[in-house]
Amino acid sequence: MRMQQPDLPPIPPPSTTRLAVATLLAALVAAILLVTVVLPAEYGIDPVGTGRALGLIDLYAGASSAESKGQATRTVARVDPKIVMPQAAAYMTDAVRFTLHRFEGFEYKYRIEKGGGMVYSWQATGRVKYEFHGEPDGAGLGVADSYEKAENDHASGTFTAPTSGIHGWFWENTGDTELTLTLTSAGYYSAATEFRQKHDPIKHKTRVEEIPHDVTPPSK
Amino acid sequence: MDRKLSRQWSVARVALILGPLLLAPAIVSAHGVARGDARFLQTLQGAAVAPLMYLGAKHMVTGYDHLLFLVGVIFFLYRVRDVVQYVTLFTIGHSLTLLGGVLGGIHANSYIVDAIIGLSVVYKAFDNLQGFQRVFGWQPNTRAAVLVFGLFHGFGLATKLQDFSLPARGLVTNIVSFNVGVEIGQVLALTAVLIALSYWRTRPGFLRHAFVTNTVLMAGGFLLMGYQLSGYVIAAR
Repeated sequence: MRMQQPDLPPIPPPSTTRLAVATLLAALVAAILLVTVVLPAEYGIDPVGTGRALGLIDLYAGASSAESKGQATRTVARVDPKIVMPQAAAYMTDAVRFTLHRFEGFEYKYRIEKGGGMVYSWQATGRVKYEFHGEPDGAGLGVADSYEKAENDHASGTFTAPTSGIHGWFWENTGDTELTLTLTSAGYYSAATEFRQKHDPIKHKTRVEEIPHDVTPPSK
Repeated sequence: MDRKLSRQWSVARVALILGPLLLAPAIVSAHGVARGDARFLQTLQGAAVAPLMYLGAKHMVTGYDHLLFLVGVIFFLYRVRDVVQYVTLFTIGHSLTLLGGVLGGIHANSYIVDAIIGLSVVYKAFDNLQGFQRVFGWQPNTRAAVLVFGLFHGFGLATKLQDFSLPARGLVTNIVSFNVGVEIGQVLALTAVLIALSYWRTRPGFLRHAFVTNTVLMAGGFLLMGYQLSGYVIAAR
């Protein structure tokens, strides 16, 4: 590459005022962008509410959601459970413990028919990002309904399936220490599956490994 | 073309050149090693020359902090010889700390290192505004500054690699591959920046816009500093 421009005549330094104005302006613009845009999008901190108004806060919440796995997420119409909902499926319980290596994420989902319910509770030894979501039958590959998306070290609740399909969690350890996560649940599900991404060193590709888990009827 | 129209053209050019820089944070993926790449590094078993080279190049081309600094450094360099000299100094600086940091197991805090990298952008922009001459009546050695800040940029590169426990087997090969990739990426990015800059310099508006451009560059540096320092505070909580 050849550059043939002659040296330009030296420019006199700017006046102190001009320099000060430029420097302060630069710092001010940076501060405004930091507070209104960067903090909400990167750290989920929204001091002036611009993150929520512009939807930037979703970037933070969604960083580890189904979207990042290339899935399309939809928001679901709420189902209002009746006070008593008789269940046709068999009553099952499940208690599992997982190890989450540094920066590792995985999914665990139950097979539940529409209207089927469960109660659940999980705890982790540190904060994890998670998304409670479902993949309805026949909705097409990679389509997910997002129920809850947050970051915490525990969550518990009751769940009524809005669709027939597999419903469960994506958990991700965003820190650099290994975590343990325990989940207990009881409800009207028929099967549980763990989904883990495994790197195939020969093909240089990651593929999702499906590990079936047993769910058990309560002991008499 | 009348003056007004020509001014509009100049403004359009500034927007064309600066637009991508300002948008870079939105377009470019997160500055750490991307999620999928991270998984790959976690499962790595031994030497992997090509993938590590690719990651190094990708980190440089998409790493807007390194790019902003380089734009500042070569902004007023008109001779190819000067460009080569300064970029070589920067390369020596960051290679030393990248190799030394990872091999020597020196763990720097990545937020602090990245904040200093942000500071390097502010420093260079202020230098380009001739701020040191105006305020202190003295021009610090620009070559030394590039070398010293290069050292910090290298620590930044090192912390990115250290986030993943690379296997001991093939470690040196992997780091050197990453380093070579960084230089390839740097050449690619520099070529693009130099083409844009040298075209811009032939335009009459260049010097007029140089002041504004370096002010914007400084704002970018301040923003990087704020981003990293708030990350440091949040992580410490």
